[in-house]
Amino acid sequence: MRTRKLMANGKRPRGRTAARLSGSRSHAAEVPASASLKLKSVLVPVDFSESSKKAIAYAQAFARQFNAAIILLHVVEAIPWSADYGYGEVRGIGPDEYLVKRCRTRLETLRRRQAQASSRCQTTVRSGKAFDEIVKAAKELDVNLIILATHGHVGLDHTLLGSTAESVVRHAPCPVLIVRQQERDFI
Amino acid sequence: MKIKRAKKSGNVLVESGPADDLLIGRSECFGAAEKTPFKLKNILVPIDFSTCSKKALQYAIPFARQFNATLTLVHVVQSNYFPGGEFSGGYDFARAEKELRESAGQQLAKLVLEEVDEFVPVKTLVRGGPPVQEIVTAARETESDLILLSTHGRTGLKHVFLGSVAENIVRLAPCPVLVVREHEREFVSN
Repeated sequence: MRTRKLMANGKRPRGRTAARLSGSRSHAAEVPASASLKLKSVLVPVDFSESSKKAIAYAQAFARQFNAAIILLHVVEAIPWSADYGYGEVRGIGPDEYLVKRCRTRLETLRRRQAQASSRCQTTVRSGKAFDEIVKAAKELDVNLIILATHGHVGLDHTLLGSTAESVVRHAPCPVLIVRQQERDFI
Repeated sequence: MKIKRAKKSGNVLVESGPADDLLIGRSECFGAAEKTPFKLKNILVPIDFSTCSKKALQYAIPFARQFNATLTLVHVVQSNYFPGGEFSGGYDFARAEKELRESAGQQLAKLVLEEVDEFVPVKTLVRGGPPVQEIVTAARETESDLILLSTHGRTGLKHVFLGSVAENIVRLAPCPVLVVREHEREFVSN
């Protein structure tokens, strides 16, 4: 391990020297001195498990730090239905209205609990494949960060990342923070 | 904000209004540092010298500045060598690995000099071995609180798959992982 800030003469680059050195930086990954984090909204997919509570805790910390809005999302798996209106059987896949309604109220209680901690928090319930809807929601709602807990109900065991989380990371339009039940936490 | 001289000599009285909250929230004095719920001391940034991994660095610098964290840039030299002396065809693997490590160290130092401004404390680290395991052990050893990772390093199939190294780090990491992609909506602004 070596520490930085050493030039040929063993001194830290300062002032004009530092400016000259930084003038030669490549354009592709340029970081101006004023680069800052601007977080407007955080999407938190919730499956009401223990680990998603942790994701909410992280989201709260981020929201407080950056004055960002939290969007809680729950995705209900769509169900196939069939109906017969006298013209033969019609089949389709649609939202499970009953479940959507129930999840909406559960999410609402969750939101009310958050409301004391942070001001801006909204909820949405969508129907479809979990990862697909999470990615779509991230695109539509224009979020800057997805905070995702793994080992919701689809996780296999401690060595496997939940398949939903994995797909979200692959397709997400924004950075994804993955939180697990791990050894170290930073909040 | 008003600053007055206090009665006790050598002391200063600072009166702040509601408009100063933002300023106070940003400065380290006034105990703002204790108020934040973040305990982000060390951030590990795996670097493979691709533009993509430089993007992770681009995120890591504002993070480090915001939370007063130390960055650790780690590069892993994968040494798949073949120890049999006379079967190696005269190729000195041990020396080659040593040279790779040295050059990686130099490149990291150069990267730090070029990209990171001097207010952010940075360490660099070169390790040898399989990348995923080494990065995960490095995270344990440096007691990192966050791994800031970019996908599509050199092993990724662009846009469709997450690089396998990144994916496995996410699986095995001892701490939260922030995955950043090459083309996306960003929350780092210039």
